[in-house]
Amino acid sequence: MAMVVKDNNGQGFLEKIYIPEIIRGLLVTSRHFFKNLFNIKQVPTIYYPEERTEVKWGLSPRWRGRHRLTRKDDGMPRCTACMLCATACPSHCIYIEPTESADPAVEKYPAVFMIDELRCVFCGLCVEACPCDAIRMDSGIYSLTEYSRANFLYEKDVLMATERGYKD
Amino acid sequence: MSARNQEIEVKNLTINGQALQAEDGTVILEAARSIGIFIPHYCYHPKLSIAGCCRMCLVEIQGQPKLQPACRTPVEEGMIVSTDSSKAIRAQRAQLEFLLLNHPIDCPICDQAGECGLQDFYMMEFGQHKSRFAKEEKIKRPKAVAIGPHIVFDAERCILCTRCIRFCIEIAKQPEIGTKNRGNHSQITTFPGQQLDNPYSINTVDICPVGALTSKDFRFKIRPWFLYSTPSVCPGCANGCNIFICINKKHYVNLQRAQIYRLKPKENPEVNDCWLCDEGRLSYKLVNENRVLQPHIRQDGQLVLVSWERAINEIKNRVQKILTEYGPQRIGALASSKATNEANYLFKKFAHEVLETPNLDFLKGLTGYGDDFLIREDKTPNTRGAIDLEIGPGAGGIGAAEMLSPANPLKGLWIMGAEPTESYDNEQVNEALASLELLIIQTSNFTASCQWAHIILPSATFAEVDGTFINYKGRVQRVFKAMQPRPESLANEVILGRVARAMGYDWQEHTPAEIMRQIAAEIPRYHGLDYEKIGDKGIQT
Repeated sequence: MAMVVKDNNGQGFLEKIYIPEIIRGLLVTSRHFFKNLFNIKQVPTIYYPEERTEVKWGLSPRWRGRHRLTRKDDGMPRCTACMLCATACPSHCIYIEPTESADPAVEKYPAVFMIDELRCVFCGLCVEACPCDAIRMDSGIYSLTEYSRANFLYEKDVLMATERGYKD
Repeated sequence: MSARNQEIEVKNLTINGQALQAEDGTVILEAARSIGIFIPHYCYHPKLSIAGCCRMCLVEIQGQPKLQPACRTPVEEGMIVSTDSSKAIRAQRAQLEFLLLNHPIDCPICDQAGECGLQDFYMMEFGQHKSRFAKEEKIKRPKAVAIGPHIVFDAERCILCTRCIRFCIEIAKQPEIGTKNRGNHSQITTFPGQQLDNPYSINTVDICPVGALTSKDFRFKIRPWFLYSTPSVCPGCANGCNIFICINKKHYVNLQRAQIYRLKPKENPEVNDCWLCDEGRLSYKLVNENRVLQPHIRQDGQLVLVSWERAINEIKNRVQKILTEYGPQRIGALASSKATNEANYLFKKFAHEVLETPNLDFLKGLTGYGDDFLIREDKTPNTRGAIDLEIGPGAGGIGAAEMLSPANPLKGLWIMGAEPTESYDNEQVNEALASLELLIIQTSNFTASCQWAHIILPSATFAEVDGTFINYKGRVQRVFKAMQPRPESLANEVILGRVARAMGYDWQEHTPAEIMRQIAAEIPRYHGLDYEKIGDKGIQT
């Protein structure tokens, strides 16, 4: 297989002598610079963290934010510890410890439900796998900040305390 | 024609267009299985009597107006069977729909999910239809009822295949459960005032094709699809039942170590068919609990954790001190009927070459309930092996009973993988061990005698080593390494090799397979044996 070396030095005399093209490029840059300088409201940049996307434009309902666990009317987790989310998870970031429930109507529920948000790739497969609508990614939280790695192990109580992040 | 062929008549038949021969008396289901055609079934089990009540195995036989159950129709000359005719498939689909009529939609919380017969067939070619029966109309039955010390029963999930009933009558020989009521309302129940409480009760969980019977011990612990299984031999008694050790791998989130979740019976017609007793099944717990995880040395009456180098150095100094001050007659060595042959063989060599003592014996473990089926009175897996390896006192040496009596002449004692109080009188043993100048215990779990030990070395359990056990009948069987030993613990043979090398002996590091070849060369009974010959079913010697 012969290798073809492409001549990248431009076509035509004006491109080949280089200087006119530089000036043409600078003109484009300066046009935008001055346009934005005198019309700053139009600039699409968001000044994070003073400005927030969800406030300025609103999040799409399909946005996959941090997980949350939904609750039943009595405040118990909807999760039945079937482990389908942990099975579907490609990054093995969900750890569940099922246990027998004291409530006779509920056979098992998660005693421990942990998500390692640092391992998570936010693919949303856990939400799709869940047969009980117990795990969702509609918290609207996209900024995960903690002071230590250990704090990124989100436990059941934190996940259950999170509410839905936005209105329809 | 040979005599054998005259006795058993062979029939020619055709299944799905494939011609085959089957012995007279074989049922169609087994004949089909022999050529790789699977006929769905629930109530049929090769080791139990035939009930023919689940009706999943209906097949079409040419010349017969009705479909016939393949599990109880014997083969006949010239029979033409089809398992995939539209009539047969329609019947299978209808039957599966019928079995699922009142079945709850429980899969997320059902322990059987993943190894459930209903899931398997429904997802495969036999089902996949929409339910025509509303969820609200399903009959409600008792759920999660503890019907025995090890078993939880869910009547809603039951499909009344009666395998458990037949198992209790035919295999466990303790009829404790039966069916009550009729038609839609029939359900499995224990006899009045009785429990499903026999030494083999958890086998009913294994043979239950659905999630109606679940094991209290395993229930909810983990999903079966996370488990990896390794063939092995049950350490619970001298019978040597073949098992699968089911472990999970390390979890990434809580960094929990791999551990055993359950033991399942492995089929071996020579030893345990496909059954396992409850006691043996729960014997895995010693691998998970109360483990010695690092070498310990007693300093000022307290056991302190030390490194392997330090522990081996201490052993070297103190053993040499006893050998030079008192001579080898005053040191004893006790092997174990719980250890593998490889470890015991090396221990014998260690006692003769390194400790140079004639005081060598092995400790028998607990004895208990035994019966004429699978459970032996000797509760250790390898007594026969220790006897065959001729582990016993040499010329002028003393045996285990003398070593563990208060009047013993010993100054030092090395115990490998055994607990003396299990087989000898508690007070006598305590007195004997307390008087020792040096007690080295090589053990996987903390035991009562550890309170007297001067040095404790962490060893690996049966699940963490390769090796062989010899059952009470003299059958040599392989133990496979199911998982890595806990970080600081080592296999018994590795520990002995390290100590011997530290004490200046030229011992090579041998794999268990090489040690087995040495045993085979030395013991006439095992001539020519190696791991390949033993295979995964074992070999009778």
